[in-house]
Amino acid sequence: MGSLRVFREATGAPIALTVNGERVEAFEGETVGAALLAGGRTVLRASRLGSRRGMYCGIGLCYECLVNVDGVSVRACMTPARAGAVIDVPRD
Amino acid sequence: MTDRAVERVELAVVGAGPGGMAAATTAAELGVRLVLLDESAAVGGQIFRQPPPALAGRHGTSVPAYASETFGRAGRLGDTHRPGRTVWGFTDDNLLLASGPQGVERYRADHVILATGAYDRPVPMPGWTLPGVFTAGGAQTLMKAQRVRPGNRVLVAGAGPLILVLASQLLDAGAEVAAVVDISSARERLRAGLGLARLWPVAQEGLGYLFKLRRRRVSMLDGASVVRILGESRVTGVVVAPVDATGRRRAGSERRFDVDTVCLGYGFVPSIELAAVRGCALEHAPLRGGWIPRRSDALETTVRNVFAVGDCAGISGARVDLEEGRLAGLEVARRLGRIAPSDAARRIDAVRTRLRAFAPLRRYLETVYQPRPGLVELLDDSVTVCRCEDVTAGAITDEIGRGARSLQEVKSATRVGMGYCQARMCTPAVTALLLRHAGADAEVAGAPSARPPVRPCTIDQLCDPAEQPEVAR
Repeated sequence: MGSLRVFREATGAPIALTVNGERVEAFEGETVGAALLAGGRTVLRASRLGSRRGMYCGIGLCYECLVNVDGVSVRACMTPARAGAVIDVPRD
Repeated sequence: MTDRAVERVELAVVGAGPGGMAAATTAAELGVRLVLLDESAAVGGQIFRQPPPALAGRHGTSVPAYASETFGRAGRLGDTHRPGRTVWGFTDDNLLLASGPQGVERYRADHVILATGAYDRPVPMPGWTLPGVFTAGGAQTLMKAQRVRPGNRVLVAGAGPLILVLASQLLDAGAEVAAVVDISSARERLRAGLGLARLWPVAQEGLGYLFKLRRRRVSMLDGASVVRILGESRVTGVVVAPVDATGRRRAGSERRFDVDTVCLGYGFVPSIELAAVRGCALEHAPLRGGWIPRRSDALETTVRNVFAVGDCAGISGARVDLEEGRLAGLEVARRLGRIAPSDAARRIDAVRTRLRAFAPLRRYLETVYQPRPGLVELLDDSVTVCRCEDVTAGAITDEIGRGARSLQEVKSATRVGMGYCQARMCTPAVTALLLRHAGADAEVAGAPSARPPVRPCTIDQLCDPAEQPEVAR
C-alpha cells in the first residue's frame, strides 16, 4: 500500500519517527495514528488474548489504538507525532 | 482543595461542536461570563473538525454556509474558549472537573449547557475487530483533520446520509470506493425523504452526494449490510448480504468484495455520561439513539440550570444542534437578566419556529437511523463484543442463560464493559443481546452506569501539581 496521504505537497514540516527500530517519515501536525497508517501500518496493539487491533473509532473513545510511544501507552489517534519519538507496535 | 483553584463562571458550556458553539456565542454576546470547554484544539466538534495549524495550509476544511456565521462568532470568543480540556467530572454542587494542559481544572458554574455530541453506533459482527475496520466518523476525521485516507480500496456500509458524505470524501481523498451498502431500503428512504422537499437546502445537499456517487459509478446496494469482515491480521475483504427492515438476514445471495478497508456507520449513540453522573433523569428513546436526558421545552434537564443540547440529547444533526444551542444560550441569558424579557421571548420564539421547520429532517433521521435489532443475529458465539476485555458474544449469552437480566449483571460476571472505553463500544450490543435472549426491555436492561472520571485519566491528570508534596512531583 503506497502512502495514504491525500496531498503530495506536505504542509507540515517533515519529522522522523522510529517504529520498531525503523525510520518512518511523518509530518508535523499529524497524529501518531495517522502517521503510522499513512505509512501502511494498521496494526497498533495486541488485545489481551493476542488478536491484532488498530484504529477504530478515530476520535479517542475506543482505546483500540493504544500504542507504546517513548515507553508510555497513548491513544495513537489523539497523540501528536513528535520528532524522534520511539514507537513499538506488534508485528503483523 | 483550595478555592484558588476554582474558577467561578455564570455558565460552562461543555463541547464546542455546533450546539456548544451556538450556545456559547449567543450567551457571550449578551454579556454572560462563561467558559467553553472542549477536548480539541479548535472549535467545530467532530462534524466540522479542523486540521491542526501545521497541516491546515491552504487546504482548510470548508464549513457549510448554514454554520459559517456561528464559526465566525466563535472565533471572537477569545480566552473564554478553553481547548484541550477533557471534562471528566460533574458534581452535585455544579463543580466541573477537567484535565487540561496544566493538570486538573475546576469550574464552579451557576448554569451548565452540555453539548457533548454523539459517536458512531458500534455494530459488532464477525471480523469487526480487524485493523482496517473504521467507524464512519473516524474515517472522516482522518481525512478532514489529518489529510490521510483510511485505505485505498474501501467499502462503506451503514445507514443514512452520513455514508454518502463519507463515500464522497473518500473519492475526493483518492480512494476507490468498492461499494456503498445502505441497510435501509430505497423505498424506506424515499418515503421519509419526501418530507424533506419542504427543507430544500437539506434535500439538495443529500441529492448532491447521491448524484456525485452515481456519476462516479460507485456501486450502491440497498437493504443490505456487511455480515462478515475477512482477514487474518488486517482486512482483506467483506461479505455483504441482503437484510430486511429490522436488519435480519433475508433470502438472497451473498456478495464478496476484496477491499483493504471497511467503514461502518450505522447511526449514532448520544454521549450522555456527564448528564448521567450529574444525576439528570434519563429516558430511553430508541429512535433518537438510545438513552438521552429528559428535557423541558427550555432544553433543561431534570436538574435545575443544567441544559442539554444537540446530539447528546437525541440525534438530530448539526442544523438542529445550532438552533438548540441558541435556545439554551438565550434561556441562560434570560435567567441572568442579561436580556429584556420581551427580547428574549421574541428571539426564543424565532428559534422555536425554525426548530419546528426541521421536523421533517428529524423524521428522516429517525427512519434511516432506526434501531435494527436483527443485526444482533450477526453475532455468532465467537464474535468479540467487548474489545477492551476480549469478551465474546458466547460468554455473554451464557450468562444470560444463567439468568443475567441487566447490563450490570452481565458486567459483573464477564467483565464486559470494564475496560478503557468505559463500555461505550459494547453497551449497545450487550443490550441487544439481553433483549433478544432474555426478552428484557431496554428499561430493564438498564442505562449504562457512569461514574467519574467519565473519561480514563492518568493519575497525573487527576492531580493538581500545586497540591502535591515536593517529593511526588
